[in-house]
Amino acid sequence: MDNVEEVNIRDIEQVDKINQFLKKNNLQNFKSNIDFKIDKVFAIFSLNGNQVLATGSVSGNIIEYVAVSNEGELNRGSRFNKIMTSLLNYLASTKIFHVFVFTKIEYKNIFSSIGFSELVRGKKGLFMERGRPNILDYTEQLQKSIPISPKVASVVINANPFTLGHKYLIERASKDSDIVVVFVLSSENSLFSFEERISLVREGVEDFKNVYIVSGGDYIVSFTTFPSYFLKSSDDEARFQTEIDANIFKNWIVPSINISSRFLGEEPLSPVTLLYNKTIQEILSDDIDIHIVKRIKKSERIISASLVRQKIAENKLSEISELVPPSTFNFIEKNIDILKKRIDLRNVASYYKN
Amino acid sequence: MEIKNEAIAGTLESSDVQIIISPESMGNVVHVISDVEKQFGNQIKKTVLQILEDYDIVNVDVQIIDKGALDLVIRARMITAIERSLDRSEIDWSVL
Repeated sequence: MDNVEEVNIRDIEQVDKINQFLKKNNLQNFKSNIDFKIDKVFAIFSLNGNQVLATGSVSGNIIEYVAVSNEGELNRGSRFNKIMTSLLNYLASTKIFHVFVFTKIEYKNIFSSIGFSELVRGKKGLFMERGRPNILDYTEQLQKSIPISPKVASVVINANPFTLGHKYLIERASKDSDIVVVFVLSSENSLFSFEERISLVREGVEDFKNVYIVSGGDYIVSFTTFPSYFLKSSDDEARFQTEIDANIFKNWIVPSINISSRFLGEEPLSPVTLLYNKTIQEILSDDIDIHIVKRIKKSERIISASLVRQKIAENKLSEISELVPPSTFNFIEKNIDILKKRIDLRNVASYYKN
Repeated sequence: MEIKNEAIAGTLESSDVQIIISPESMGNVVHVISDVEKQFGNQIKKTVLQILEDYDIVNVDVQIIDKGALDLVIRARMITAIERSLDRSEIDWSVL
């Protein structure tokens, strides 16, 4: 019988076997992602242990690297169901019931048959989800918390932490529109926790009366969390990721609260973010107005959250005060030791992962 | 009574059923995904709703992913899912 085993990700021989099997199935980069993007790997091996018959992995709330071979006595469907049972039970044991999968369009039916439904599709694949709260729960919640207005602007920020740059972007949107909805990314891989980030946004925009702050939930996706496994180049990867992100925004979020515009910060620094802005523009500009706002500077340097984090690491508190509103500054000043400890821990963690 | 947390029971293997139970804001909702939904969808729903009634549970969302399970398997999985969602150490044998 085919039994599902958990694969020890430190076992190089096993990882190699699975990597080769995935490559045969056109899924790339398993080996290079194993250390920092993959939490758990399951597989079914042949009786002599030499051959991989099926495999699947978990990264956060995303199921990925699912591939099933035809060989042996059982048919594909039943192996697929076995692997998926293990993955979903593992996720449930960590209290994750709301699960996502990126897959090729030809596998839509097989994932539908185990309860996944399509969120969006890009040229290269599908993005599906299973469990609650799902996209309909999320948009219903949005409708409840945001009043109907003729001109609704939107801003998406991570705010790690909230700076004068974010404030300026929101101010521009606030002046241009009846209301502004600020989506704060909810993933917890930033120096500042989600709770800290969203409360600093709240305090930072107190002066603007028409601003509504909401969590991006699972639907405004930070593009660092996307898998890259069925894409050839990192350029492809970034494009696919932003395509998915922009399409969720366009198909689900925009119509739910009648968003009429999105404000983006201009991106002179990072090529990835520049591509992100371009893709957002391409996909959304038929439906809503896109405003690219020039970034503001202090002492000839563009104000950015990464600059603030750098100053925290260097313990240059006095230089931070001109980059952030007083609310953010007070928080940093009060918690500087904790923040620096977090930076140290992150450095240690990335050291051991490499 | 209301459930405490989401829970899962069963598998996606042939002749089994996977049941996911989660809190819902209003009433009981049952969704069935099955190859034999046309023939047995209503029967499956009836079984599930009956067990919810026996337990006196309200405000839950139940997802049934059926792979051709017999009625008694559905009952067993449903009871397990409920017991897990209630987070109790003792099973309520009187319901069974």
